[in-house]
Amino acid sequence: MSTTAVIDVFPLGRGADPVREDQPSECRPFGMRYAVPPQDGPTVPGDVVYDEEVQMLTRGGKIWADKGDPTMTAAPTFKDGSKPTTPADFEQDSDKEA
Amino acid sequence: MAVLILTNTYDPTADDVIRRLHDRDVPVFRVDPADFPQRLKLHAELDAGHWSGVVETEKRSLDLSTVVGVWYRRPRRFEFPDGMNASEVEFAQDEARRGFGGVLNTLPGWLNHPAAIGRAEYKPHQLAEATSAGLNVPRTLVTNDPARAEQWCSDVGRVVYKPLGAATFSEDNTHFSIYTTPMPPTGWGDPALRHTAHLFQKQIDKDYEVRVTVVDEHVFPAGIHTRSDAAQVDWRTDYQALTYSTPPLPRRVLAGVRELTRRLHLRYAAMDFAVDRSGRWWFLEANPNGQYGWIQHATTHEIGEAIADALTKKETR
Repeated sequence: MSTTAVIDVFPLGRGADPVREDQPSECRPFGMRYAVPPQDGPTVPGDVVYDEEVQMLTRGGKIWADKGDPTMTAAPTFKDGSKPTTPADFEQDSDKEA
Repeated sequence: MAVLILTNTYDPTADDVIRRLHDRDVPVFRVDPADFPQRLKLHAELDAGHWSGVVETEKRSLDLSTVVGVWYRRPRRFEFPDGMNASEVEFAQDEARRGFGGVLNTLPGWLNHPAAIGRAEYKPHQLAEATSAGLNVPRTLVTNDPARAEQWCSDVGRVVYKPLGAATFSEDNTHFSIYTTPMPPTGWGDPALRHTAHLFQKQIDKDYEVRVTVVDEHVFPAGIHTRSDAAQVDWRTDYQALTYSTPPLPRRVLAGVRELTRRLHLRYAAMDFAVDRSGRWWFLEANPNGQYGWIQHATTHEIGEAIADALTKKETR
């Protein structure tokens, strides 16, 4: 693995998708016709906060990430790490088979 | 010994692994690159061929020489002061990437190395490597030529369109996503295909799908069964309609999974397969940084434990 390669891609982390007012143009790529609003995923409860001391999310002063908790192990994915008041992200996984 | 986790603060999946590392008394340093340079300091010096130094937040400090594992989860981009102009941000962004990213690049034990992630995310690359690894891959076309696309689709018959990337965007104040979509013949030669690259693939008449999560030598297959038409095409469109199982992995598929992981230089991967009505397994894609939390819960696969294992052994891949 060359050093050049990692510098070219680091970091892959994405910022939030900007909310745009754009309208479709006459040159719209074919694939964009099939766009739909993403399915809402599980969300982090609004009173969950990040605690720098434990480096985890906490709720009511207690660590929220009990192992095996279905809410925790679900996949609320936020491109920008923001709280769930912003548009919910969905999995980055690109696609599945039909 | 310490584990460095690169992710944002709202990442419960990372929390799960951090707890497991705490249970093992392994020191964890969790940081989001978005905090660099405003809330995060890097100070490193080249010393006898190695970078030594520290990464520090207000609360804690990481001695780079103690790192045995780095988990590349969901980091955000660097953030700079609001007062910077565009050129200043561009300069600072590039320098941060090469400086902060460059020093971290020298650390051992990446899961996964970001360069490997970047390369593996190119679908044409992973599909070619999957074929070389002995996995079945559906007939696939990448094109922006409408006439040739129409001919190819006509030859193949049932065809789906898939975006080559995550395919999210914002328009008219709304966020959108593009999922796998069956293509009717009316779309096969559409003139709008010429505006960018498009990926078409033969549609598999699937019985069920399998998400295979790989963590080093551990392989966790999870069957995904659908109860709705939408999820039958693309299970991400209807999570509520899914049920899960733990199917046995055919030996040939297991060998292919291991070989593909090796070829893509990955230690972690979430691979998707479709199993057709005759029982044949078809490789669809590999997500080098795919989510696994909901699979872990649905199947009781100990994926988080395997990740904690992987992060605490020194690897240089």
